Amino acid sequence: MNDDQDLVRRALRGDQGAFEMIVRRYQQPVLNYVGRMVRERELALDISQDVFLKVYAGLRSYRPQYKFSTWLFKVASNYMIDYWRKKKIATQSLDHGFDDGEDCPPIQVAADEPSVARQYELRELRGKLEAAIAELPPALRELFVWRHVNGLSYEEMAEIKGIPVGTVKNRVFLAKEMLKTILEGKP
Amino acid sequence: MSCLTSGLIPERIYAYLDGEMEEAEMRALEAHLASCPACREAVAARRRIAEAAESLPSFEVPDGFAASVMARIGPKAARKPLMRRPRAWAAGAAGLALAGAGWVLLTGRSFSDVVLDASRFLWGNVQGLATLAAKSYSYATLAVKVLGKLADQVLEGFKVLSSFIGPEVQIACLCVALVLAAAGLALWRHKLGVERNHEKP
Repeated sequence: MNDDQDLVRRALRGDQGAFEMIVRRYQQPVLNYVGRMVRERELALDISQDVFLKVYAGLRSYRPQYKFSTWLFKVASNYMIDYWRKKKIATQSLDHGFDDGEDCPPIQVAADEPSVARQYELRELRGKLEAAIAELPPALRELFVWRHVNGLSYEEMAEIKGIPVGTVKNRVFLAKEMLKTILEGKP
Repeated sequence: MSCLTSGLIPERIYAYLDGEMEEAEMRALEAHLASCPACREAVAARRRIAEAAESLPSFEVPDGFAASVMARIGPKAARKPLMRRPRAWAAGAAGLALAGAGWVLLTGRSFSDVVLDASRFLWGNVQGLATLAAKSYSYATLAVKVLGKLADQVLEGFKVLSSFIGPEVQIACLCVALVLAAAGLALWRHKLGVERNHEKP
């Protein structure tokens, strides 16, 4: 977004109003991402603030040839990596195979349900999904949230993480299958 | 097309749901779905999860969030250099003029007396600074002399040491020292590079 580049330029010239506009523009996507990574509202707010401070401090290292939102999510992602490291949360290897859980009973879905019932079911599923997302390993959770909550493209995610697009697709697929298995295991 | 639940991998279901499937393959899959309730169910289950994920509620951002971030950044970071702030210069000059006028009024002295006092005060400070500079210079000269002597002693020590150690050992020691220095430099550069790349996409 060229508007972002303009705001960054103004912020670099010392215009704090411009940086405040950047914060206002990205506070919701950053909080949605961080919130689903840590699942604690107050902690998510603190971390999101820290992320914006890091963005401000590192604004000079931002290269305009990249999309600003991609760079911002990279800063946020690096912050989260440091956070997990400090918390000493073991990151699960992504190379191992994954049991696709075909033994579990499938979620029962009828194609043409009445709208109200469907809405109710969707609401219930959302609640279960929030809990299931929290059970994903951080590396997979991050990609799933970027794809399905933040709406990032596979290409953007690949650029943020510095890995091939195919790898990102595989990991998102793995996350979705894991979620399916977790949901099927829940009463 | 083989049955999804008995062989066709879920990757194809996601490719179908993401609209990344070839037209012909998609038509074949849809034809299969029309006749296979198990596959219909497998697709529908994954679609519902994707729908639920995309409609997850946003975390509520408090009204003062951006203001809190800006408060933590503080006004200092955005402050322009003094040279580029004519208002600050004007305010400073006006303040000095006001202070001078106030002093004249309060003490009842003439303006020329005040100017004379100010110049005496300034001259006294200049003299003090000159003395300080001269002392600093003499200390710096002394430090250079001491360091020079120390370097001479170290050099002498090396000479004495080299008379005991053979030339092969000297060369080996030099090589080890160079390798250690190069490794240290490379490690430092790598660390710096990692820190810099940390924020770059």
